[in-house]
Amino acid sequence: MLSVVRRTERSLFIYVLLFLWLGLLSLFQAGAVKDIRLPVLLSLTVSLAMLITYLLLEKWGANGDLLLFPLTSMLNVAGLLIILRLAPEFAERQFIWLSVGLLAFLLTVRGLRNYKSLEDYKYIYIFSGLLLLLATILFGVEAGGARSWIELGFLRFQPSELVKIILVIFLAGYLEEKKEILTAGTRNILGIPVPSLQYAGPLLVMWGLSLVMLVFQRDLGTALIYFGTFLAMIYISTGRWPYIFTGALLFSLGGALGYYLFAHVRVRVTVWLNPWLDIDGKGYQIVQSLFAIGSGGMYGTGLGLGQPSLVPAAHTDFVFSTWSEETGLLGAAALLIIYCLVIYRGFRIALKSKTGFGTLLAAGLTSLVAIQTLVIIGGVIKLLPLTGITLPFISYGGSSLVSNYILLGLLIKISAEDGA
Amino acid sequence: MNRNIVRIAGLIISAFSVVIIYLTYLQVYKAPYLLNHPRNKRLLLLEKSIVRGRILDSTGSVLAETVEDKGEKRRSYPYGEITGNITGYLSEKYGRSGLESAYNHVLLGLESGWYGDGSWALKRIGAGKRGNDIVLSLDAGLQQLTYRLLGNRRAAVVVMEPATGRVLAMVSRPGFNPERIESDWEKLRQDQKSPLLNRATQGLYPPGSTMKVITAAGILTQKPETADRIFDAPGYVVIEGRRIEDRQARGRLNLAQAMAISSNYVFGVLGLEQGAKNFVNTAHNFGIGRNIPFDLFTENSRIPDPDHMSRLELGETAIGQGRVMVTPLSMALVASAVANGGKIPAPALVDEIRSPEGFGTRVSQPRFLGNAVDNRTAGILRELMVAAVDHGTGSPASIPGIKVAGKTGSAENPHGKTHAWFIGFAPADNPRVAVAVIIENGGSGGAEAAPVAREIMKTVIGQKR
Repeated sequence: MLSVVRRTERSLFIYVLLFLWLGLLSLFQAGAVKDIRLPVLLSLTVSLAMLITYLLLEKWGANGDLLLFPLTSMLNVAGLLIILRLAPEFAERQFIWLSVGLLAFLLTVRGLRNYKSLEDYKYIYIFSGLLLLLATILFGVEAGGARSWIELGFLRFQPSELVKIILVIFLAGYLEEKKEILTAGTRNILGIPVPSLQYAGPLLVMWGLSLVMLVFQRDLGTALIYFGTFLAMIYISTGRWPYIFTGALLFSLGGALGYYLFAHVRVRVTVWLNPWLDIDGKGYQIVQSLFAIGSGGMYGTGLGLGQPSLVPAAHTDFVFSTWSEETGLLGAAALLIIYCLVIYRGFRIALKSKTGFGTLLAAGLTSLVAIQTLVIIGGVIKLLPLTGITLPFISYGGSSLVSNYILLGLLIKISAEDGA
Repeated sequence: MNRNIVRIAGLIISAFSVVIIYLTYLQVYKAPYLLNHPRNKRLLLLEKSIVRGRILDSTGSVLAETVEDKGEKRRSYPYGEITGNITGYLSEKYGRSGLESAYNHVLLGLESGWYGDGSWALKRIGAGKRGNDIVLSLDAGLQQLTYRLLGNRRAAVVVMEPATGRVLAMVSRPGFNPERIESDWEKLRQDQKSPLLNRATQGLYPPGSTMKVITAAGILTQKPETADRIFDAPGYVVIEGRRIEDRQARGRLNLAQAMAISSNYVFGVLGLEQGAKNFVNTAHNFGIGRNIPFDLFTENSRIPDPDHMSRLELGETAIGQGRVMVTPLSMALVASAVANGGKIPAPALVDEIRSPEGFGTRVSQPRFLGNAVDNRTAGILRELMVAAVDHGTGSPASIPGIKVAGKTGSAENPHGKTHAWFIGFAPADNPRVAVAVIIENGGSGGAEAAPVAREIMKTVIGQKR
């Protein structure tokens, strides 16, 4: 049985590499890549790095989920092609980050004795995570409207990316521990169900944390992801819808408050509702994104043949618009389906996990990827207000890529230990 | 806990489905709007790298082409103002009009003859540097002749093949030269004679006596025996106390004679007899008051609602006055419908789309908009119109040796002399050409419009098939 799946995985991997090289050929033929030497060199390195990673997994007998890695590799390759096409000056750096990511992935799979040990130090993790966030607020630098970067010499990274994973680990441990209290926690006062402090406590703390992100870092996207992941996890742990309702209500309340208190939130909402009123100003980004997506049509212009340079931040926040322009609805839907498959495998790992902590951890990490994907894609197609966050495994950005590979490693680890 | 996970997973997958559905809306339904949006720079960028296709007439004469002039690309229109209303103009400053606008995608090769969407496949094989050519049904020679026949008057002519709706000529005077659109723009816009207006499809005029063809169609559909009725015409008609003079038509007349001398009395009465509902319904069946699909921007002809038509108005409308307003294109379709046994052809200008590398051509097929009248009624109407040309007001349109069917009109209007109308087709038994001519404030339809129609019909019939 296992060998059959192995073989499937191996054939999937061939597609990933085929996709990379054919994509590169397309870009070259379309004249989108002028100097072919560097891209070929980089693609060779990536092919090799991915192959080695894959072979190591096989050699270690890490019998975890065998489909996740090929799937995320596909996403990653799509991202690399777009960066080669759009921002060749960043390509080298992204390839380095990818190698670091793969290394972190292998370290997570191999280095972690067993995932259950993560539960033990959850308060230390969350404390250091919060410290990191605090440091960002105090010493962070601003980029693209959000103050979420820390600069260390030539290196610049986004702590909130790493904190996301720390948060999920902590919540999985915490919720598992406090499950009974949280499930039981409503009292009736005069017939109205009123949540007790144990019940409301975590909710209020998370809400507060999200609002801090929103206000001090101006990072609506990350705030949404934190809070959304938290709601998903607390629901999975307790099975109580009121958490989601109250949570959504609280978040809207916070949003409404932000709307009245802060001009930048107001602008963002106005632009979301009707970007066409200010095509050259505040609505510029989203309108350009819609132009790109719409111009792609059903089949797209073909890789390398679109005009994505008309869209600002095309290789980071708007990477999905570029992809949609050049590969059309078919390519865009294919990408979304790959994400759905990743999410499916993730939840499958959660369902198969033998411990409550493992289940919550896998489900939380999967929800995190899902929510982040939905928030950024929803933003660039104007279904949600635009937020400046990365598209997992695709957007340019080191912190995000490395964090996502650690996340992937954790999922594989859980499935390897508990059987998938 | 597992059930909760399944629920959350379901929620997330539903959200992904919503995203895919919305993307479909954007990339399929909204795609043309977003691609053509004036603030989307993509088409402009593309245009710079593509040699726009040519517009050719049915004989291969060039009506519009892109030529390179000292490294500069320039759009040339060899027929200038003669075909300006058809080709339209192309300007970075003022946008585009006419076929340059309607077929922009095709001319740029964004929609190739053989591959439905995008330039992907063409670009892959190194093609796509040239757009597609479009080949019109228009005959530039006939267009030129018609343009000259109209002289310096404000006028419009539509010439078509009644069986297919193929437009052979469509002139609007005064015209404009698309090559000089940028330098002439202000002058053209301020000109009282509105040269930028394509009178053939956008000019709305009272139809005058040409409307009597429709009045006759209405009564013949309702009471076929009217064909044999004898009328006693007093030389005037009084409707609701208002007297309309009708001097040339006095005494005992049959329907054919009434049509030939264009009796206001007979058709006013026939309008009242058939009732507003039947009359307006017949007009709708002929396409008046309905949307006519066409490649160029087209105004709809208008007729008042039958429920809001007084008897006086009904009588007036039956003889083509009042609030009924028609375009020359619309009246050419009326003539075509009669010529065609009652079937209204859909007007068409483009015969063929040709991709430059010969990957394929897309040939348009004739379409029909519906039946105006049945075949028998159409036959009677044809005889009535033949009578009008043989021994009536339309006689200046007669061609020796060829049976011509037609109807004149001299439409009263607030701007001076009557508008001169002629609609008709020939040969009556085997129609090859249908025309509608209007000369604004030209005077009598028989004296001014009919001779123009005659020259056009003679030329078309004289040509080899």
